[in-house]
Amino acid sequence: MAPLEQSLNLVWVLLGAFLVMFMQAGFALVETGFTRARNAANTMAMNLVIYPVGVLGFWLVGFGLMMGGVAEWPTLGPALGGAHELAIGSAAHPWGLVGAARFALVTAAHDPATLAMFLFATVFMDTAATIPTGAMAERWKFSAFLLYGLFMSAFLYPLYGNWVWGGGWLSALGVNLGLGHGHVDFAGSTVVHLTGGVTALAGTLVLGPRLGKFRADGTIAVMAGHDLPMAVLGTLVLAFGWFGFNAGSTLSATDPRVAAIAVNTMLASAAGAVTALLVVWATVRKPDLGMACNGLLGGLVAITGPCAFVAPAAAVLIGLVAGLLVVWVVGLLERRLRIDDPVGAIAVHGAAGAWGAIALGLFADGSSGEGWNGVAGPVRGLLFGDPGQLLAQLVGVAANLVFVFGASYGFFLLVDRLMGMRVPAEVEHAGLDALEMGTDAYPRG
Amino acid sequence: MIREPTVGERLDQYELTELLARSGMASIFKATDTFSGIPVALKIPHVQYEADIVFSERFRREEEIGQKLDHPGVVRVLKPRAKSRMYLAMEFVEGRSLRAMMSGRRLPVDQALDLARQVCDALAYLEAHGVVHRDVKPENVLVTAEGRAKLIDFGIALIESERRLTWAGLSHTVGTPDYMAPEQIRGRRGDARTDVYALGMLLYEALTGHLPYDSANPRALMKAKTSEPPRPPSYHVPGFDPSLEAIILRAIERDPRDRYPDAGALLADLEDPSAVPPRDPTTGAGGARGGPHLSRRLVLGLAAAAALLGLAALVALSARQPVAPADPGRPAARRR
Ligand SMILES: Nc1ncnc2c1ncn2[C@@H]1O[C@H](COP(=O)(O)OP(=O)(O)O)[C@@H](O)[C@H]1O
Ligand SMILES: [Mg+2]
Repeated sequence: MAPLEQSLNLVWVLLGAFLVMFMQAGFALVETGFTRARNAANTMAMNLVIYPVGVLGFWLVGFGLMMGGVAEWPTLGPALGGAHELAIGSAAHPWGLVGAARFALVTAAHDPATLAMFLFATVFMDTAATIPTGAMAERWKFSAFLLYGLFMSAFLYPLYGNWVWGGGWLSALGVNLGLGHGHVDFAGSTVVHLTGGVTALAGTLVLGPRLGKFRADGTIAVMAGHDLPMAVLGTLVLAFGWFGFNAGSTLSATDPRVAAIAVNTMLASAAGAVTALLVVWATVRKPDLGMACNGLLGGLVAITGPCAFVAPAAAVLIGLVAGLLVVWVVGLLERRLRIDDPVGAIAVHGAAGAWGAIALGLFADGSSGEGWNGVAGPVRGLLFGDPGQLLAQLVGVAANLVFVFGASYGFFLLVDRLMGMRVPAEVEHAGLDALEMGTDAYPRG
Repeated sequence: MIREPTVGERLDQYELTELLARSGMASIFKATDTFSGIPVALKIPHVQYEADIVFSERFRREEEIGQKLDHPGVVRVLKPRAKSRMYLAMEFVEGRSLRAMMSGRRLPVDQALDLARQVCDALAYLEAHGVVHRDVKPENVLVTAEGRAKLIDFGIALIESERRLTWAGLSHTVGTPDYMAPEQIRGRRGDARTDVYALGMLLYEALTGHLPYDSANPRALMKAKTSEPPRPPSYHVPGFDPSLEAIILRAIERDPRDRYPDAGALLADLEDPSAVPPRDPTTGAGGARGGPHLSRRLVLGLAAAAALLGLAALVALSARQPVAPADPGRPAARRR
């Protein structure tokens, strides 16, 4: 690789990371806007604090577990200081389980390529980690949340991440079993969003609904967010940062696919937003702004995985289905399953994330992905002749549901036993700001 | 047809002899029990409340709570043989209210402490029976000539195990918010710590002649109570005993979780105030006896030291790692 190309790629990775970092601001605005004023300081605090706590947990442990097994960065050159992946199976067909090198970045201390990849991987991890703070908002004890931040950044996210992006077993499904290219996730529909959404589901189940949400007489309280303009601004910030998320994931400024990726990202978000808007408008006769926001985000989540492998028309279709799915799952969770997710994070990141992975297995058209995960040929979905790829996508989703849900549910239960997950009812009534944080976000009238 | 009773009339077995007080909701009469000749006090609601369901329920509960209780620091509620209308019969307490005793001046420390201990003891008894008084204030403490304090007025008291009745509206309109705890101002039902707060305020006022918050209008006062720290007693009384100050400030902490957990814990400190360490003026912490502080500091110190050592080791290790070969063609390298 020419030095200039390598330098350009390095800049591209860093720029992408900077954009994704800004998504933390988007999440903070969306989650706080969709929750009540009496918990605004607490919701903001979680979105702020997950960033530094996650960065440190990932630096110390998580990055080593997730990327410790990668010996060479495809677009940035060889990694210095040795790599190691713990694996089972034969030497010819290893099933990687977890990386074991580069902890605390010690061996990568002077390796610009690995450091850039660390920055990039860290902001992706923090995106996943900040998803549950929305679904679990307005009742989560701050100390329990802090513990979760470490658990997520140091263990949960890195493990599944290793299986898909760090050379682990899900990426080896193609080489070892002939299932397409193994589980393919271009920018993180499963690794980032499904993981965040599934963890949010587990946490919400352990916490239970907000007090007064589901009444004894069967009716459901509307707990409207306190600042819709804030939520809209956050949604647009996220949509902007998402260009770094998807286009940055080429890890290469010289890869011509970046144009298609950026276009697909935009198209899917548009289709998701318009679909959600129209569906809700048609059913409740009011254009629901909040649902349009979530539809837009759902479209983005769904296109994240397949964005590099599908045609623009397919991106619109993927976004459209994501918009429908978000509306449907929000209703299903609240009205059928009685699961209280104040911001719709489980629908947006969980349901649309799983859909994104499956959509790749359907619509990948063979235009790119040559040699992905060590399998010759481009990535094709079921509709373009490779049923094995769809299977690999389904295995990846199933593994996420089983592992991430099981591990996070167990973790939350344990924390609940040991120190309690939830604030006392009195604190919840008065608002977490006054009694948990000791400060109000806004002056009380 | 029910009308307002007047002195000289007879009500069931009682003969009304004197009007003691008239409040917004009831008149309090001194009366004589014609069976025993013993003086009693009757609390008779104004006629317009006879038909008010919420009020009647509240009143009925005041009687029910009173009849459950038997403690020298709590006014005894009697059981009249037959009742022809709504009223509450209690033992007559010969004495005056703590409000009348203070009337704008400070009480001697010994006397104030003695009264506070008595009320505290009564509150501990209430807690043991699951009752929260919720309206502890000098007006509702009567002191006999022998110096015995008795808690009266269970009008907005609460039995913790029972279903909640909404009379927030009533309790909010009663009197000034001077003695209301921040959680009551926020509309919470309150628990044992709510009474601890009020007792702390009572002791504050008895010892300083002032209240920690002064504000002309009730709204500003309520806001101050929920958002600002109280003035320490030593602001009003220079040289105020720092141990007593620590006790009072802990009792009137704004967050119930920072207060004494119950009247019993407060009573323990009131029995021997000199053993309570003064507040640390820099942190505002203190008032709790010995215990976790030292070990907590030790743990924090050790954790910080371990983190620093670990980081130092990582820095040293990092220095031994290979450096990426500098490309001589790169601008950064050329500049040197
Ligand atoms: N048992 C009693 N013995 C003597 N005086 C009493 C008694 N109960 C009430 N009083 C007098 O009546 C006043 C008001 O009584 P209280 O029960 O506090 O009524 P309210 O609910 O209207 O505040 C008291 O401050 C006290 O002066
Ligand atoms: Mg009274």
